[in-house]
Amino acid sequence: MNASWHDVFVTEGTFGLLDDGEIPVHSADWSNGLIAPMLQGGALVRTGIQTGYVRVYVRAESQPAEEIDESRPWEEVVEATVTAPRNRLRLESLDYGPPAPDIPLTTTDTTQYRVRVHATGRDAPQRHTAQMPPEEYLLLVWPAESAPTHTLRTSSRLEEEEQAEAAHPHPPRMHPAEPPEATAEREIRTRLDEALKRRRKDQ
Amino acid sequence: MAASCTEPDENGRGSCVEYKSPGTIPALPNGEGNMQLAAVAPPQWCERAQGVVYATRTQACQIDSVYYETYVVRNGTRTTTGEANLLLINYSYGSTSESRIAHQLDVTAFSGWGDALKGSYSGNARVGYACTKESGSFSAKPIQPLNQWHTGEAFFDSTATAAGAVGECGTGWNLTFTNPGYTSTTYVVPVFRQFRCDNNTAGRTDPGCVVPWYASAVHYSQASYPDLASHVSRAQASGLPGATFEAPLTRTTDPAVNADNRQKACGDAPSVTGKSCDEYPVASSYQGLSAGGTRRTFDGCQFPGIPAGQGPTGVSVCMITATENNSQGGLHSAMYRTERVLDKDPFRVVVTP
Repeated sequence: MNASWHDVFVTEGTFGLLDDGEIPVHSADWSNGLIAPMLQGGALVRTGIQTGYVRVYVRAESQPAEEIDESRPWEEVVEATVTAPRNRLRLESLDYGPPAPDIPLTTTDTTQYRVRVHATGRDAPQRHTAQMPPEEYLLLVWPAESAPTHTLRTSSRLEEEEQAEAAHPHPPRMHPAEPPEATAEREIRTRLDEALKRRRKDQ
Repeated sequence: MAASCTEPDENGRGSCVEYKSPGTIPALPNGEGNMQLAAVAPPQWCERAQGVVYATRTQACQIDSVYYETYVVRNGTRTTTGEANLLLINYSYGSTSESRIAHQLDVTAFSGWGDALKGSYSGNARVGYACTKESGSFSAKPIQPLNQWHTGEAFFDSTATAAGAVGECGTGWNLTFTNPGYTSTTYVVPVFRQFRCDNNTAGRTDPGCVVPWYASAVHYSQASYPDLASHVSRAQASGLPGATFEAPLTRTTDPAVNADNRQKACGDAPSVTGKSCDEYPVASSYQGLSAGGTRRTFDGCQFPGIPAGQGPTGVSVCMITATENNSQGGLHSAMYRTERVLDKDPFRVVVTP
């Protein structure tokens, strides 16, 4: 299966497993401290650093991963369901897009995937930025039916994050909270897009 | 702009066109009268674009006025035989997911007399910079009756479609006046160079076109992100830029600037369970501490040893709920992608209920 190590730039403590580059962050479920699946597609992985680079190894599997990977001393392992309505799931830096080489992780016959996230180094104290990549992640992705998020290996940091979110929850929303003018602007753009596309069709 | 006149013909007749600053304008055209074209009615805010460009990220508009004169020279004496005053609406629109832009020209004569009113006009679309003309259509229309709008429509394709390409589109119209018994004359509508097309927006694989100087907004909802909205509201109220078109932020895509902004603002942030350090202006802007300035903070921000502050330079820091901070990254990145915000493009940060 496809696999590769990447240095991924972190944006505000996250990197993405995005579906066709979309970031519907309003629909993120933050109840787990490591991975926040977005109900409208894709997921955000929460890092220890806020900005800088982390190392990520991502691999598409055809079958569920049976054993927990032990190639690194993974401190946290969480498995979650990630939907990909556009079926174009990719590892991405939110700021800089997919790292090269850009490896698609999805197949054509399903839009539901299971993602197992392994992490080490997130809990390094006082590490708010990093020029070197001290944090490492392994992401395994395979087609699977939807199932609850499952923590396979936890840490004190992960537990604290989950407790903090439980105390002040930010439930996922299906629609972004935006002012009326933003909604109106989107409708205008739809009309203009149609005018340009109509022209293409007329040719 | 000086008048452009043809030499008098063998009968001593000629004509002139001249740019005029628009004064009072009649009602703008609506789309209903132009259904024979795929024309789009210009937005209401075009009314304010008299002699200046108004725009959104995907639309641009400018209204100008043209003076058309017919004359005759007899025995060395030049006599005006007619005048017409016309309004021109340059309306250009594009799409963040299309490499094609449109440039409409809406024209009407709103006053005049004499032979000038017997004339007609037709248009030819021009193109320049990193665009090619796909099509253009503006068939001959009579100047009379007054206040009757006519529309020309042209489409242009960006040549900046290869991965990593960025290019501007310059478009325009030549408006040619013809009149029985008079020589024809052409008004060159100044080039409209408002759109930038690119296939260089991180996270997108498609080309698209935007007005790069228009500052799109990222919205922070108080209901969804109370900590974040509270901090940014107070930071903007203390004089830091980003809330308005007059004082927007500008994006940096340089990871070194981004990391430097972050390190200088939050490198010594306290460790607070469930919270992380938020800085404003955001690290992905050129207004961070890499540009100089000092830190400020506010009551309840859990940032010891940092004073309050005022003014447009520096950054504000505050410990906020970590997931709201995480969400902020997604909100900005989504906006940068949707609006094709490239390095040095302006953008706004707007707190909403």
